[in-house]
Amino acid sequence: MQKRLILLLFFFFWLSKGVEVFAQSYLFQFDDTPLLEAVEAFKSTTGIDVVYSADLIGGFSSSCTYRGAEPLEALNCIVQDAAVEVRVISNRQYVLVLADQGPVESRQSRGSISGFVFDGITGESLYGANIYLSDLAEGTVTNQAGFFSLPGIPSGAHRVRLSFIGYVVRDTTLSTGSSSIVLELTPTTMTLDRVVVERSSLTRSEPALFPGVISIPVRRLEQLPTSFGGKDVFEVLGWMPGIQRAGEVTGGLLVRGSGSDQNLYMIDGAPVYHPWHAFSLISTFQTETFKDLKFYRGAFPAEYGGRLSAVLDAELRDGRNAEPKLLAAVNPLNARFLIESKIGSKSSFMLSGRRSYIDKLIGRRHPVSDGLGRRDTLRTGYFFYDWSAKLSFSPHTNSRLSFSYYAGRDDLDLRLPFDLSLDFSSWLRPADLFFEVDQDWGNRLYSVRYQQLLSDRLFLTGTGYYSEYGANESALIRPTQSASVRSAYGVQLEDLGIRVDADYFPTLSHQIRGGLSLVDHRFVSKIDALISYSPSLKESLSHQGNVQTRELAAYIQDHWKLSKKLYVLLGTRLTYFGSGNYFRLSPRLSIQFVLDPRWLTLRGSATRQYQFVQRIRDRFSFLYDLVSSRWIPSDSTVVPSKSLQFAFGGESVPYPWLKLSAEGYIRSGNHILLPRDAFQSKNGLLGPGIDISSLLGQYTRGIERSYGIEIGVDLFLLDWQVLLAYTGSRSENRTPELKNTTYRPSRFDVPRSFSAVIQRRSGRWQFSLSTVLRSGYPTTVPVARYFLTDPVSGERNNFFHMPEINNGRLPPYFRMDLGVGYRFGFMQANWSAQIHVYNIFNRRNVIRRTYDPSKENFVPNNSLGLPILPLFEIEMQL
Amino acid sequence: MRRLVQIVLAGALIGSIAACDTVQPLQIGTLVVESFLKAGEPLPVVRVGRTFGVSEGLESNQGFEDAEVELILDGVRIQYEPVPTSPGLFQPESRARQLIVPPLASFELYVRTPEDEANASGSVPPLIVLNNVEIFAPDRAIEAVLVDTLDIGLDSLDLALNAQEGFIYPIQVTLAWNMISDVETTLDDFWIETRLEPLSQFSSSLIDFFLLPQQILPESTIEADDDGQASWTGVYAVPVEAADTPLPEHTLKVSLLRGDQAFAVFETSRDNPERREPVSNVRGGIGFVGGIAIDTLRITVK
Repeated sequence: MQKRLILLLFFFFWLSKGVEVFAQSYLFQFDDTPLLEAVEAFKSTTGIDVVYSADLIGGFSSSCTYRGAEPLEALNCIVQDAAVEVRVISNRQYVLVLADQGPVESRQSRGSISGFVFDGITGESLYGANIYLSDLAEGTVTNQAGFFSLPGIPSGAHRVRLSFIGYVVRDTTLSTGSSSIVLELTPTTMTLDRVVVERSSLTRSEPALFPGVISIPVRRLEQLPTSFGGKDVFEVLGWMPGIQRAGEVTGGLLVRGSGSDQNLYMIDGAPVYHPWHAFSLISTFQTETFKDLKFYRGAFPAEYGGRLSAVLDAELRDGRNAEPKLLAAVNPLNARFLIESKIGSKSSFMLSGRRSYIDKLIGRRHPVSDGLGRRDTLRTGYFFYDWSAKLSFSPHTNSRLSFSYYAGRDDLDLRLPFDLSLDFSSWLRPADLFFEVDQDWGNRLYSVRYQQLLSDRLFLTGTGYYSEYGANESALIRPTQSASVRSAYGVQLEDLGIRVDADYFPTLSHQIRGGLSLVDHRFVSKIDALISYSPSLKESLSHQGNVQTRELAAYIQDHWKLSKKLYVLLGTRLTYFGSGNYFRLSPRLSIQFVLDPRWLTLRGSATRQYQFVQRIRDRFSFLYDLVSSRWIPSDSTVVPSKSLQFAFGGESVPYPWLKLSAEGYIRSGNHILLPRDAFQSKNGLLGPGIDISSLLGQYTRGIERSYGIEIGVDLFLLDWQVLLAYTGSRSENRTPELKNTTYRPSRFDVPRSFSAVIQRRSGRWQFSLSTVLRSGYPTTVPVARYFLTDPVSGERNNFFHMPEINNGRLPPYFRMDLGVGYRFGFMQANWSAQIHVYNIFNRRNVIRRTYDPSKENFVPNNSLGLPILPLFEIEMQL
Repeated sequence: MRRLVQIVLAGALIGSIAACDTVQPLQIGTLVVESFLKAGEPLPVVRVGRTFGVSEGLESNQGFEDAEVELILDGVRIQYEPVPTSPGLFQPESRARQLIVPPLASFELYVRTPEDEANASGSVPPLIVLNNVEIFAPDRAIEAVLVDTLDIGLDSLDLALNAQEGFIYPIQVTLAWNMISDVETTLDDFWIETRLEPLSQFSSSLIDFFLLPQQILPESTIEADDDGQASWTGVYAVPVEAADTPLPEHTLKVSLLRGDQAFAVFETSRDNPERREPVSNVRGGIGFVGGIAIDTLRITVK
């Protein structure tokens, strides 16, 4: 045994000596050779991998002669003239890093670094990307044009870390003095060989400098499951804490208990007043047409105003892809396409369209006839469409001009007999008694934006826009041969606006943004109706309203870095609203304290907001305000609504793949228009009329309050992606003018809500499971019975006593959806096929409940939600 | 630091769980007071009851017998006493039963029970008298849709069309009455309610929706002729088997009411009992106590 051990030791000794004996000898001779070239020669000669940033050594050259067997010495010789040093990771891998240049304070001169950050794949500018000087522990973020500036930093080269959620963190070296640097970030999701490759990392950014914002890369939004109509921003936002849809699958976005009209939706700087299609089933915001989306809950920067609750600021893609891109998709609700390309080296465009096609399947017009020779044309038309287009021209890196266009519309056109049934042959005939409904509604906007870098510290953006919302409701109803209703109702809201925003970077500690905006609002409504009760008894209604007013606003805000851990966003906005001569000041403050970059970042905010237009609707007549959104401006009788909000929370990213967040808020609102009679619903033909005073008579000024806590878990590990959101909140209101002194739950008050999205990628397959479990919406439950007698007949009429509105609650809402997707390559294109099963447990949620007092038993009449629905979508990308 | 994160998260979780529903327990026993002071008629009875549980039968009668009821009419106090055979009904004391409710009188009604107190006040409108009723019926019946339920909801995919087509006689009726001539009152104070009620209720709700069998409107919006006579025209339907079926003989009850705004609100809010209850003017209770003027006619139409 001892002999064997001695032999073994001898063998190892010989072997090690042998290696030494046969070690390779290197010869490197460089004379003013570019360092990049020299390092590559070293790599190929030695077989040792050298990791470096091209930006780090790109500007240097090498003059070195080395002969020997020590590769580390050889590399040190090669890089001796550059400001880098060699670090040994292993025998087979070295890394070049920026050499320690001594204390910052020792350097005297100062300079600045400024430039733009773009998506490395699409070429789109990245808004909100973090630029962090690792050696100075200082940073900034890019503005809407992707521009950043780091003024007043020590001259020389600096290690810079670029980060943005959804993108791979990039470390590089930049030197002061160079302006208009173009930097690119690579998305975490990359399409390689027609198969999507996912990098498992949340790519934690450096401390987000604007608190309160939800900034989700479009690429990530596209991956989250949606139920209807393809990629929909609003549906995806519903997975986030504190945000919910009003209806089961329809209705506006409710943010922290607010009304859906308290959110500002913007496309390329222009407001969109009614961002919905298909009776609010899907939104006008298609995820894939945007390059950037910012959603602010509560605390939004001073550049935004005019709404109380939230801001969605979306920017259309401008088609700066290196390669032309074509996307086409079809699902049961619509078909859509997107095409984008460069035009030459300085221009680019994007064009996208979407249209529903059910009218093409069932036909819009149906000529019918009968044996008597009568002819008629029945109509069953419904469709919606969107057009988005953008043309960008960038003569220089420092300036850009873009034109944006969006148009979306819904069109419902029906002429049907009353006696509909599944037996088509029974009613596909000329009808004497019929109803015609012709309704259309939609938005159209034009926007032109010019961005100019005036110096390495001043960036200017000018925007002009025209935004229009219009709705028309026409009806012809003939329930008897002698009675009919014919009406034509229309509303229109036009905004013509211009705004100038300036970003100024005076020092590294301050980033100042200021601007001016002027908007001309025009509100038009009109109705012409004729009701014929009999050939000789008719009643008509004709009215037209036209209100015009101007809104002027100025704002300024400073993003102030008090220390390396404490950030403050301080701003204020002064608005003048012409109708009523209102001046309103909206201060806002956000504070962020980085307790520990990894473990805890604390955030707090306090804001005061004003809203000068409110959306209300007539609650009596069926002849108007059925599908249209009716916006009315503040005036001498309608005081601008006001809200105060305080929020406090924290965020932790303990691991690169896990992000935890929690935020609590308390919010109050004043002068909110609430229904004077909450029980009143449309029940007649002629109402009080369409003029604003008639409409306002149905409303009273109310007070809102809401408070809650939002918890989010975002996990992104290997093939798994998990998004969990819990919201515990209350939202209440009261109407002091009606002597209601106690708060009652608001219509969409949800004390508890939990949602989860679990996704897994496995090769070409993707599986998703999404679920929502929340408290049921408030409902009014009778508490007693009584009866009254008719003053004429003396008959007994039974009633339920309902002294408190929203005193009960519908059963909890639960739904789980399943999605399965498969990606494949076919005919040189990337294809994706997805099956989405809505409500896989076929749970029929109760969405509305009424009670019939004429029945002996107290049993509710329930209206149920949608059953299980399988949906299919196929997408092609070229 | 890890500990701090744990504390923050635990606090957040506790805070979220603490959010709770606010479902209120059922409430019973609210005082219900009802009375109509009809101009030109004897003092009315007052019904005093209370609400009863939602699970109790429709015929439950929770009338009070030990309530104190007092009416002050134009400053005159009138005590009420229980009607012996009808629990919950109170009639004026015997010496006041012959009193007539004068038009334009003001009134206050007070009800006290061992547990509650309620009161209501208002004024009595001027008398209203149907001067004339004109009825016009077409020669032949016309086609009409008879729909009982129509409910279309996108969220719920509720689509209920139960349409049948048939034939009706649309009967047009014109009522005429004298406008208020009292200089101390103004039309702005009063509302008019008209009703055309065939005694056999055979119209469908949809037909009634598009015809005009009843209406409540401000009297100030009704035009009068040179003689100060106002008129209103409405239409009700009489269904028949076929187009050539003669108009069946039937009795029509025509009612014309005048009341104040509280009465108009009460009347317009009582027609949708599945969604709401009538708007009350009783303080401390529910129900309605109001002054009205009423004239009715029963007409045989053939």
